Amino acid sequence: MINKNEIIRISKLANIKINDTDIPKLSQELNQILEYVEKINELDLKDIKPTSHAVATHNVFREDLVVQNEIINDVLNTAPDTEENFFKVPKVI
Amino acid sequence: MSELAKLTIHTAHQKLKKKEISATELTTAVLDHIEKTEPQINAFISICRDQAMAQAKQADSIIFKEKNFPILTGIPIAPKDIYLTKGILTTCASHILHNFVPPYNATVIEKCLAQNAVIVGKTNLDEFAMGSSTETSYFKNTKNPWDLSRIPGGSSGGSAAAVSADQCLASLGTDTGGSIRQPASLCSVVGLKPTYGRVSRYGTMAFASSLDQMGPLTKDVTDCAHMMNVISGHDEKDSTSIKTPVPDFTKTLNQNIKKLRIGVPKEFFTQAIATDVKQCVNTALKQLEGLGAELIDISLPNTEYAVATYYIIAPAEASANLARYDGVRFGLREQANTLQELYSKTKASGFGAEVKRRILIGTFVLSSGYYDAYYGKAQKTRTIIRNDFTEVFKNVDVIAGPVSPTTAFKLGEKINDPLQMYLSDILTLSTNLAGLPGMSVPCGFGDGNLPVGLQLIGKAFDEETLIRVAHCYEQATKWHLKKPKITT
Repeated sequence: MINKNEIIRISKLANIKINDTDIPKLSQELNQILEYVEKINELDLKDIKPTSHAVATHNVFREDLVVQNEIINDVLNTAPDTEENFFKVPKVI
Repeated sequence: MSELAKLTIHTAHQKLKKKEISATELTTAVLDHIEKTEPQINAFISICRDQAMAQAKQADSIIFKEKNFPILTGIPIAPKDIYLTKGILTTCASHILHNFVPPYNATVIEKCLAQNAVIVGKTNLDEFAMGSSTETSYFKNTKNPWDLSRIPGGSSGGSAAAVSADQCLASLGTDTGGSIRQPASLCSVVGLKPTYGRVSRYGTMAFASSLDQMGPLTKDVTDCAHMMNVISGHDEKDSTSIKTPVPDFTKTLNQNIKKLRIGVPKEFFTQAIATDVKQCVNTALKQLEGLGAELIDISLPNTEYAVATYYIIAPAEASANLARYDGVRFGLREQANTLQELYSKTKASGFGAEVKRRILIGTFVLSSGYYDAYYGKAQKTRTIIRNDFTEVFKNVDVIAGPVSPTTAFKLGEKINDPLQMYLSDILTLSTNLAGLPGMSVPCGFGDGNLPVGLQLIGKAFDEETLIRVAHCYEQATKWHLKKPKITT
């Protein structure tokens, strides 16, 4: 069950501010979804190996080549705030 | 309307080759048609008239000089607004990227532009491709050209509507759980989700990385084969794209389907599937039999667990992928005094309700204490669902059935009930979980003259057979020639 405290815990983990007034509806919706997905508990999963990717690939390597990519300005131009060649954010500590 | 906008890629290419038309004329006709029909359809987030006209002019200079040129030269296309397009606004239908102009192109876009394709605009979608109706878009609701009170499907709803309404010759969509096939079915166009790894995902905004695959939406199956020739192939920028030979998909297009074994899963014809959809698909199956194919009753016994499995795995992957939209490097930023507050306020105002729900569900199922009970188990049920297909494909070449349990539903009908919306993907999700190719080809009209699609599912990397079956069926039935009437 996802109760109010659980919503607060996961919204902190996900870094999304949730308003107190939105919690009851959100909690109802999330519980409805969880209740449905728990359908997988009907299956016997003993000895079944997990699948993380449909088409498995292992150790995909490429040549470690230096490529000239002059898009620093283009990249910085998309940022909300910059200084010199850096992204600027509010005080961290 | 100008007849030019109605052209398919292959017919336009022939006309360009014979110099009957120019790329500039074709592009102008398409842009004018968009202008006329867009107030009704709302398929586009951006329309790029100036850029498109410049690209058309460039294409004309090649067409003028060369006798032979690639299939997409001078062809107006409209990619879903999830593909990064250098210098063209790319929003993913989200407020959080409302101002994002990418500094580079997706690999698929590079491949189209290398042939001098013309990008007329970027089409609407569900925010971050999360939805089945295109109603979670931050910007607008796209209408189904066959009935303007109904949804076009989703998440590639803008793409399907635009192709259906002749607002472009073809579109590029993405399919994580049915997002190409379901809107293609509801708008009566051809849509193909290739095998996972067939097409590069580089530069296309990630939703659920182990499920996402890029593919075309086109007016007919021949165009689908041409688009697949252009976009397929290994890309060293996408480590999950597979190094496997890419056939010429147009080569086998005209081969017959005699003795081909088509599996019909009983789980695709349950009570949950509307009668009119079943009728259209059953008729299509009989027609395939008439064309020489052999129908074989099969079972995919774990189909009923696909929605549950998907709605654990996809949100889990999404919660990790969407962490990057934090207001630091691109897109929206809310003012804040601390970095932590900047993240949480930006995400709160930047993401819509459905995206937040999925991030929170994904965060929950991956969080300490719940991982094994949800995510770990879902990975195992994914194996079971995959094994069902492996077993069935020992005896059949292709699987056929409906795409969507119903025809297009009304705008607003399911948007307030997330679970009902999720259940509309019940017939498409399992192919993503198994990584297999799936296709929707128009197969008639149900109640209220609303389109129905026939779904074809193939073995891994056997898009050729899907395209061949679809082409054979299309040529015998000609459903693709039926067009919606749009009053302007």
